[in-house]
Amino acid sequence: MKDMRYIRAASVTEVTDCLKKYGDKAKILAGGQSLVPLLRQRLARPGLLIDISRVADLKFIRKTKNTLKIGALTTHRQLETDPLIREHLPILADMEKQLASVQIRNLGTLGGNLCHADPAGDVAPALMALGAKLKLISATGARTMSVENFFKDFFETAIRPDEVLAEIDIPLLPDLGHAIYIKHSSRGVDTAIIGVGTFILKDHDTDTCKEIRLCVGAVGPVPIRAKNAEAVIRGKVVTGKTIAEAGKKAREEISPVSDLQGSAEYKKELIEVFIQRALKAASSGRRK
Amino acid sequence: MKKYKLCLTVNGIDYMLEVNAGETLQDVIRDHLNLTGTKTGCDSGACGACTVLMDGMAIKSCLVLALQAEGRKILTIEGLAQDGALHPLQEAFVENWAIQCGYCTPGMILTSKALLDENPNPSGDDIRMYLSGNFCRCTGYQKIIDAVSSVRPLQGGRHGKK
Ligand SMILES: Cc1cc2nc3c(=O)[nH]c(=O)nc-3n(C[C@H](O)[C@H](O)[C@H](O)COP(=O)(O)OP(=O)(O)OC[C@H]3O[C@@H](n4cnc5c(N)ncnc54)[C@H](O)[C@@H]3O)c2cc1C
Ligand code: FES
Ligand code: FES
Repeated sequence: MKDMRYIRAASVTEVTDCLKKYGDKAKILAGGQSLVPLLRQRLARPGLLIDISRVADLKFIRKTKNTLKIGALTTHRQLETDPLIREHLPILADMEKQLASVQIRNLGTLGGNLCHADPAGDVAPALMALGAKLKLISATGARTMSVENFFKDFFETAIRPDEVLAEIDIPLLPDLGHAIYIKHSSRGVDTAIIGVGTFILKDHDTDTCKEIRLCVGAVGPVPIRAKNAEAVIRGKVVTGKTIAEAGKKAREEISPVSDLQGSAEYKKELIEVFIQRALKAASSGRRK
Repeated sequence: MKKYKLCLTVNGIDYMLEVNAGETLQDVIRDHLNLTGTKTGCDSGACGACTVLMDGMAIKSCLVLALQAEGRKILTIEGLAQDGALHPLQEAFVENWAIQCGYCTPGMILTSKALLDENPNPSGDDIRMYLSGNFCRCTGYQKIIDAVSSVRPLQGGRHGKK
């Protein structure tokens, strides 16, 4: 850290040029809410910090016909309070309200949260449930990847050292689509012991479930989908009985690991309970 | 070690300083400017003792590199009283016995100021939520909430006591 250098980038091109030149010696700094403590504890020792926080092109919330596009530098607090988000994807405003404290939400960014890849992060399970896509840019071009494929291991993602996460694209909820995020933590400001992002789409005529995603965070190295539990619900009318069965399946298919917030045994219990709660709330019929 | 130029405004005074890339805003406030009213608790973002306002927003100064504050306006607890008169929040904390050891107080007051600037009439729950990133190890939380609740808007957008 002693000879760490610092560059304040003004544009995306400047960021990608720097990344190309310095490779994995460089580290991007967005809000600093996760990186600064790592620097302080010498857990990260980059030779160069590329401060992207003033790159205006990475700060936006835009609605297109079928999606909301969110710039990677959009802060947690902006997502929590933005009228477009509240109207179209209230799950995100709800999720942000439960994330850390207001001071951290004021500076922490959506992109920084994803790239930090804390297995207990709240953003990832919510975005996975929504089927969000990430746009990664490097000096040689751009690529798109689903949030589901982005996480590789504890604090590890598929992003290359020469890439910057630029944009998050989220499909708007279809009519009768409903998405929620629920979290359990010791106190409001603590990281999740478990977090569940849920998306459910029911058929207008039959009330059966056409599409479902159950995404669970804080139970392993990366957020995962409870696919066996989804299979219980898909194609059926959601009832107390199917919900109970889905909870049991999720409990069987996920092997949680212990962390500072809770033991594996405890998390195992929570998986069943929280999958059930999530399904109950998400299928209760309120639009969005 | 490479030094970087840093210009920022603290409590209305413009400063030009030289810092290392790894220094935090907290280091600048406490060590360069000797404004030790901003406290250090956890140095990792959990306790809120180091809270200051940056362009009016509550932030934790241990989580911000000094160079991220380039060109920003910082308000610390030392800048809150005007011409020797305490800010209504400061008076309210004194009158409601919301201070025990006082270590959390600067952070509590500045976070509360950000809240009142945003939402002049917060409910008790609004106050609890907004202050949830500020710990009081003397656990005088109810008095703190009483103090913030007692401050209500006056004419002209300023605050005074109820
Ligand atoms: C006390 C505390 C409590 C917290 N509680 C929670 C919580 O409850 N839930 C939760 O989800 N999170 C929590 N967090 C984490 C925090 O919300 C986020 O991780 C943080 O907002 C990260 O965003 P940032 O912009 O500050 O990223 P930074 O700290 O600047 O960067 C984080 C990492 O991402 C990389 N990076 C940042 N932006 C980009 C980009 N655009 N492209 C490529 N790489 C990039 C950086 O190089 C770095 O490795 C907490 C943090 C603290 C300190
Ligand atoms: S010292 Fe900054 S939050 Fe505790
Ligand atoms: S008064 Fe002692 S920590 Fe709050």
